[in-house]
Amino acid sequence: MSSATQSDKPRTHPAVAIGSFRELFDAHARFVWRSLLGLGVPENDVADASQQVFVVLQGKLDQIDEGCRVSTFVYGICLRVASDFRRRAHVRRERLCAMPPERPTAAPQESAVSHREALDRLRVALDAIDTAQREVFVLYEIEELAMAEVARAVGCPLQTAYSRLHAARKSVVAALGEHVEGE
Amino acid sequence: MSGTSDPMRLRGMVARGSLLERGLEAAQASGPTDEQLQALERRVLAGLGATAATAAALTMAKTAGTQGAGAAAGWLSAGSSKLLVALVATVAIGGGSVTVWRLAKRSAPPARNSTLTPATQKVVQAPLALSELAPPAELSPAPMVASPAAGRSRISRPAQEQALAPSPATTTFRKAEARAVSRGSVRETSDEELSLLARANRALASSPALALSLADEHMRRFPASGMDQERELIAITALVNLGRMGEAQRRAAAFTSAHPDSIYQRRIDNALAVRR
Repeated sequence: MSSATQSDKPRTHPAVAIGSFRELFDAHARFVWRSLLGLGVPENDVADASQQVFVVLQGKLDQIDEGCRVSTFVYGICLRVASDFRRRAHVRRERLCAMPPERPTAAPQESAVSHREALDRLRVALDAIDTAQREVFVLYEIEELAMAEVARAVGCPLQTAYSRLHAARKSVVAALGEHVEGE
Repeated sequence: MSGTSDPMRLRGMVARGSLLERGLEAAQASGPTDEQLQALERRVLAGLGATAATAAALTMAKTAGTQGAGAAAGWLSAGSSKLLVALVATVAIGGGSVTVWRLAKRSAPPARNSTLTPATQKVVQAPLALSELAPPAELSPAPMVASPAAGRSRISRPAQEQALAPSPATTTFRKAEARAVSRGSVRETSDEELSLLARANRALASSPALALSLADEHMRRFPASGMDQERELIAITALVNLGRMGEAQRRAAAFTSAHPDSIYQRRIDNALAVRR
């Protein structure tokens, strides 16, 4: 695409065929949504955040490197978009002075706990930990990427990713009142 | 998929029925409802500037930029064979065919919302307008053993089922293999083979002759390949681009007899039709 003749498209990014972008969407939309939730984007915002991820993705297609999986690249975008949305949500909450109530750390009767409540508890626990740790935790434990992929998506050395995971696990396990072998 | 030195996942370590286990399960099962997904899709695709009408024939063009004369397959140009496979596999999973990129010549780039109909295409442009393809739902269902339902119907899968699958990146590789296996080819696809196909694919725009030569090399070196349909698609496209219609038609006919009900048949038909 000669930039000289592309007067209506100053960027030098490729024009993506709709068909192929739809394929990208189909392949990634569900995990984008899910991982944004895991990364702390409020449920009210996750649709917007998901859309934002694809907008960003479209603009960055030519940056997908040699040897990089598309999904790893997309996860990287999710991390940044989630960070934006969490920040916005936090600001909103501060303005409204409506912090979510602190949950008790003692586990209630196991059988009475629904999946929904367990999820909420997990999310609260994740909200409480350092963002960097949360990202590694979500990508490894929920999205189940290999640690090497996690490190790549997050952009940190592998060892750093391991130590963040370790720290995140400790916090989450403690918050949910669990005992885990080896932790 | 874990690296060999990765720790066991937390889900495997927590007590069954525990709060944490349920939380992790619920997190993995979370995701958009079908309605939410469809709404998101409309917004995302609308945001790309395409309406249903113009979704017809957008091409993927890549500015040569600093790459000089080797302008290659759009955003796959910098990609590795793995990226191609990830994408190829991804597309295959969706029930769509191999995305053989349609590459515009640098000198004739489409305007952002232009609709290039088959009649306006030049022969040097790969004639596979993605719009000419049937939507995945119309393609004859291939016996995809491990893949989710094709195309559109995948959207109606419950979020839970989808979310509990292993990570998408590894799934696409495994499923492409499964698909190849289910088609009767038992050989695993090597990196080398995929790399060759990726190069062939990338060469389609700038040099269909090279693409054809690479495809034929693939045929010689990997006669029992599980990716033979994809290779043939590339070869037939290259022949069309070269104006060698007779050969393209013969090769396409051979493809059809060798692979009845192939999910790529429609794409091949379209490639030939454009140059009638």
